[in-house]
Amino acid sequence: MTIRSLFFASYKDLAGTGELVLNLPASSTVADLVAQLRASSRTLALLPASPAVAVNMTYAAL
Amino acid sequence: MHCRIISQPIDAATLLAEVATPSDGAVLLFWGVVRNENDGREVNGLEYEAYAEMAEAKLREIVAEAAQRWSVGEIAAVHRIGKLNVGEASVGIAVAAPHRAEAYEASRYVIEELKRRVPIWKREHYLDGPSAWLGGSVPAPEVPA
Repeated sequence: MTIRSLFFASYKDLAGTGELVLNLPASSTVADLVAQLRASSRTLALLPASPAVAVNMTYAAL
Repeated sequence: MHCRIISQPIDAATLLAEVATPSDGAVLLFWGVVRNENDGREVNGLEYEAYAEMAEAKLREIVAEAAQRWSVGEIAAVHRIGKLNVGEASVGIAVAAPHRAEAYEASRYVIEELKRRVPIWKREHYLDGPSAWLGGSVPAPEVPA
């Protein structure tokens, strides 16, 4: 599935962008997405292990 | 309900006029202002960033909750984003109600909840060093609506 990730504030500084589009298996969880993001660049590796995340504007657990 | 994220100065008179009706005996304004100091460090300005679409949705949710809990009339909640100087208002919450007790309760509720779960972030600019995004708490997971 196509996931459009939006970044704000300090996470945006780490991502170097306000938006990233990723393709993940349909069964992926929020934790999978965060792991993928943290593995995707040297700076995104600094994203907290449990960042503040909302899925479709609803706060989500990892 | 009048909930919005804007990038211009907030106008208090407009907010008050938006909510007041002839059945309201109290119209309360919370005016959040940029201070010159945080944690002993001198602040010379700050900037707010928001996930605007979600922030407006959360503001509407919070205002609806307040209206459910207390007998109030209209509530307007406006947050400004972008660069602000010391003394400028970052948030205005106007609550109209027949009676003041409920207006005070609802006003307090809206600002506290806004700080807990509206996706708006603040970066402070200091006189004595580089700017920093202020840490907040991670909002609790919600059951999707």
